[in-house]
Amino acid sequence: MTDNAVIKALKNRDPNALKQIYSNNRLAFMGFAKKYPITEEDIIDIYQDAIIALRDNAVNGTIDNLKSELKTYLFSIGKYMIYNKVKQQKKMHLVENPTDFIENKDAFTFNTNTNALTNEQKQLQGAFKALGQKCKEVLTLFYYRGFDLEEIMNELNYTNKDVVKSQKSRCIKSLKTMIFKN
Amino acid sequence: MDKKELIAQYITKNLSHEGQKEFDHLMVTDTEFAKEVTFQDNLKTVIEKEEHDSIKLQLQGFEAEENSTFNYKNWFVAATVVVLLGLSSFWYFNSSIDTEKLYVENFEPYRNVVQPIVRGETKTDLKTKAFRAYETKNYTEALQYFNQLLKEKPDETIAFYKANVLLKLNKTEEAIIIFKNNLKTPDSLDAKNNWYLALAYLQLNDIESAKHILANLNANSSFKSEATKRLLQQLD
Repeated sequence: MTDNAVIKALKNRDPNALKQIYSNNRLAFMGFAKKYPITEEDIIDIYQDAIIALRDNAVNGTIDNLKSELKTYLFSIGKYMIYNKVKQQKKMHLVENPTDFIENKDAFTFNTNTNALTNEQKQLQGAFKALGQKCKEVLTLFYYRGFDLEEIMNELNYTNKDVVKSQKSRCIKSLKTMIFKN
Repeated sequence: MDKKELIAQYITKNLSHEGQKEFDHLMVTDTEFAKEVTFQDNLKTVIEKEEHDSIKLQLQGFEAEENSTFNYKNWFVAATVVVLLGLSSFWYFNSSIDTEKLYVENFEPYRNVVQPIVRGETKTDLKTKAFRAYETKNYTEALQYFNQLLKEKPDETIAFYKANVLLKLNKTEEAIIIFKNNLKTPDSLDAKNNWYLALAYLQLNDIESAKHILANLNANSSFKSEATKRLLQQLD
């Protein structure tokens, strides 16, 4: 599969593409990360987070026109995350700024999502988990994948945009009701 | 523009320049609007987290597969290695004999009894050069001269000294060949050949061969008898 095909497959949440990218780069990444003072457990954790960040950016279109190889891009994210980890552990004095080595800075904004959820968000998370499957799908397409109403309509085979709009409104109302009850 | 639509465009990052201005204005002037934006921002964060958690689970599953594939493919090799390591360490610790140490304690190249070297003498024949190098511990040089001598005429005594040099140069296997070869024909050097052959085996950590030869030596010769007895005890 070419890099573009992989990015497209990741966008479409193809689990095979995810597995392929995971397996194909795993050993090389482990070897690459070994020179840093972090445990193997942390390396695997970081590798997985780097893949998640890569997938995020494939899904939201940030890397539609990626100039570097996908592998290089993945390793840059991983390296950035390793630097942050090492910095946290204060085990190494970093001469290099973690972002200095990144050539394609435009494509290098990603959500590491390492911050713990606030109390409000935790409450919302509980409510979201309690939603029906249909609501979860609509909201995920809108909030995570950035689809507009028309795209959601096509993705989920709705008859028109208004149905999607009212469905989405109902889902948000359910969330708010659940939170209010608590 | 409709406030809901404005927020929708903000969430999907589709705000126009004008829309952005209106959005920014409402954020500071309309608390209800700002509250709704915070709610939807939070919802976005929560959904992203859900998505990440689910992908993380998938990736952890891949990782487990990688490891189980490894185990499946390599468990036999791994198990064999473990067993071998276990056996060898059992043997090693069980024997607890430091053969290298014993070798170093006992090995000393046999003294030159062939060609007395007198200081100040300027003899330049090959044999003198060879033993002068031997006595002055220039073993590499000595080896060259012994080789030349042996090329001229095979000689068990010269070969014996050459084997001593080889031991000193850590060419143990080559030395063993010479000692064994010398032992094929009985002569006065046999006890010495045996002693050094035993030490050579010791250096190779071949305790059984070393013991066998030392036992033989102990029974048939008085050469190095005390050292032989002591070594036999240490190897037991």
